[in-house]
Formats: sequence, structure tokens, C-alpha cells
Amino acid sequence: MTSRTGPPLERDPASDYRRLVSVLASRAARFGSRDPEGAAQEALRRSLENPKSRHAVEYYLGEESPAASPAPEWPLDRLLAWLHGVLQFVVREEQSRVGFRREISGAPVFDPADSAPDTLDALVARETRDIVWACFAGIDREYRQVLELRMDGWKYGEIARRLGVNENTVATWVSRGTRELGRRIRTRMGGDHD
Amino acid sequence: MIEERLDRFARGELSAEESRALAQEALNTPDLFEEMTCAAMARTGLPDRRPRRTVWPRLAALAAALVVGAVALYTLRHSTPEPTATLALSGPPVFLAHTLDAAAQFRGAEPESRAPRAEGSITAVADGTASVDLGSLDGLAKGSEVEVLRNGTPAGKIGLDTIFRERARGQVTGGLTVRPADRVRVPAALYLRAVLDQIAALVARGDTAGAQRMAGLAAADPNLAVASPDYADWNNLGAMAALRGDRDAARRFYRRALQANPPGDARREIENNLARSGSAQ
Repeated sequence: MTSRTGPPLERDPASDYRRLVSVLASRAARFGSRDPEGAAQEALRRSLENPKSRHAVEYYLGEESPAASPAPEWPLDRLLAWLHGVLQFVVREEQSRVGFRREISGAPVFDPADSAPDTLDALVARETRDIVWACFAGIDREYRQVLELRMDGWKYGEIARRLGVNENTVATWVSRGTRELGRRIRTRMGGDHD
Repeated sequence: MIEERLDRFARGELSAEESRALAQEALNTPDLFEEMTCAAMARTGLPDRRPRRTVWPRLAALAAALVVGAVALYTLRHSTPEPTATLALSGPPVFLAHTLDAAAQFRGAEPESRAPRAEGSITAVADGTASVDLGSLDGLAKGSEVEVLRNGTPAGKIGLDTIFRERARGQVTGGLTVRPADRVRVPAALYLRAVLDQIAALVARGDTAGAQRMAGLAAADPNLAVASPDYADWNNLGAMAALRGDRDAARRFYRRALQANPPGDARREIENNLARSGSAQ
């Protein structure tokens, strides 16, 4: 069991990231948290503890412009997927603590025993991979085909030659396929938690 | 404007500065934040299956490991059977159903569907628009291109904009003059995908014999992998190879199925099929 008391931070994250906390709190509420604001602040605190996610949070989501700061190692998509996973983890910890964990059909359950950054990173990656694969089979063939070839390292030009379409079509299918997959993930998560 | 940026975000093309600008907008718009989070999960949750590059300083260690591994494999192969074979499962192989999309069903669900064709002909030409006797049944979709063949070699392309089940039409590109009866060819990936879809439809209908006949078109094709078969495709090709007694091919297909990230239940069925194909040696 973990608590919400980590090492002190130099500044108050809740005020430095007030809009982020607000967005995360509304997501935590949808995940079934009884204390969405607290869960959002805890997810933020853990993200600021991890050096890689911290730099990305500061750069992309900070209220102040990162004028001379170099770009973080993590791209924005990595950070958003991380924040989702950490928030879900925190909410499940909360539910585990108060003993009202709801049965969530089909959703893998985190073991809330170890929330060290590396372990958490692996758990988040596993959970993300599971839900993505569960939704992947449902997207259109053309989208799935180009995304599979991209996974295998094919370049747009190579895919275009293989499929007999032009590169712009491949690029369109990649973005539409990714967004369609995202919509299916969103629907699945909404179905899981509503 | 936002749609264009979201498309680029979905393709991983935004710079760090552009990403920050978009993220800042999303903080003011929860729905946008939600859409970006789910697209980010889609991007990061798909595995990177690119072949790993080996750097020179590691080559010696890798070579040593390969030698040790080869010796160990040789020893194992001469002392114990393949682990899966020890399960000694019996009975017929299990086919796996697809979640067929609308296009796949359109291509293959009707009992009297003809087999997909890799080649066809131009049936009419008018005002730069050519009609061909190939369609969605053969794997074509709006935006696909077919090659026009002259003396068996590609001479130009037709970009298709109207697709029916067994015919299509589109614009001839590259200034080529085409005539009725000219031969046209479907890209290998699309044709093979159509074959796999029809196999899946036949399996879903319980027509194993029909699927078996169709499998001969796909299984022997050296370009099969370009059609991006999924775990169910590979498993079903393996099951059909097992039914015709080709256990080596069956095991090869089952292993490809296991490499295609099947979900838990499907993985167990594939592993059982693999065990069956090895147990009767």
C-alpha cells in the first residue's frame, strides 16, 4: 500500500499546473475516483518524481513557456499515455485502499504494491499495449495494414509501392488509422467506466 | 487547422514546439485532451517490430552467444523433443474466427463468391476513364491502383475511384493509351488480402473444404507476408496445412501466428494447434 506523501517539491504543483490538474481530475472522476482532485494531484506528483516524465510535463504542460529549455526526451504522445496510466493506477490504488474496487469487465488490474517509477513505467506500458491490441482488430483493414507495416519499420514510400497507392494515401491512412484506433480506445474506456 | 495538426500528431510529425502549442490548447479543451490522450495511447501501444540493429562493439559478444546457442540447440535437438510436442494433444486443429469488417464481408461472405483474381482486363474505355473486370472481391478499394500490362510487363496505371464488387473504374495515369482487353494486375498485397478475407469468411461459415481450396492460393505465395496476415489468418493457414497433412508448413504458420500478438484465448488455441501438429510426428 502506498501513501500520497512523497518527497517535498520546491513549488506547489497544483498552482503551477492548475489546468492539467483540472483535466486529470475530470478523467479521474470518470475512472470512478471518490476524490478526483486528490487523484489528479497525486498523478501529477508521481509524474514530477520521474525525471523523464517531469521534463516532459514541464515542457509541454507547464503554465509558463519553457523559453530556453531544450526539448524533452519524451515526445508528447509518450507523456499523455504515461499520464493516463499513472492516473488510472492512482485511482485503482484509492479503490483498493477503501475497499470498494468495482469489477471492471476485461480490464487488467494493476498490482498497486509497487509504484516506483520504473515499475510504474512498465505497468503503464503493459496496460496501454493490452488495450490497444484489444481495439486494433476492430479498425478497417486498410488502416490496420499500413499500421502493421509501419510497426515492421516500413517507410511510407515502401508501403505505397507495396499497396499500389501513393504516399499521401499512406500518410492519410496512418493518421486516420491511429485516430480511429484512439476513438475505439476511448469508447472502450468509456464503456469500462461509465 | 486543428484537424490537420491532429493528423500530424497521430503520425508523430509535430515538432516539440508544435506539440507544446497543441498541448496547451488541449488543457483548455477537455475533449481535445481526451482525443489526444487516446491517440497517444494508440501510437505508443503498438509494438515496434523493426529488426534491431547491432552495433560493432557488441558483435563479438553476439557471435559468442550465437555459437553457444547453436551448440545448446544442437544438444537439445538430439536429446529432447520440441517442448510443444510433449503436450501430445490430439484431435482436429482449431480455426480462429475473425472480427470481419464490412469490406471483408462484402468481398467474401456470399456462398457463390468467385475466388479473388490477381489479374483481369479492361472492359471499356471512354473519355480517359477505363473500366476493369476486377473489384472489391479482388481486394481493390477506392484509391487503389491497378497496373496495365503490355506483353506481360507494366506499362502504366489506372487510379480507381469507383469500386463495385466485381468491377471498377478510374482514370488512366501517365498519358498511356489503353484499349479494351488490355490486361491489368492487382497489387500483390491487395490480392492476397482478399484471398485471406475470403478464407476467413469461409471459415466463419463453417465451409472448411472451401477454405482449404482457397488456402492453396495464399499459402504457396512467397509474397504472402505483404498482405499483413493477422494471428487468425496465420493460424487458419496452419490449420489447413495440418488438415492436408503438411505438418512442417502447419508449424511454420502457427509460429507466425504466435508472433502476431494474439490475445490470451487465441494464443492458447494456437499453442494447442502447434502442439497437435508436433505430437503426431
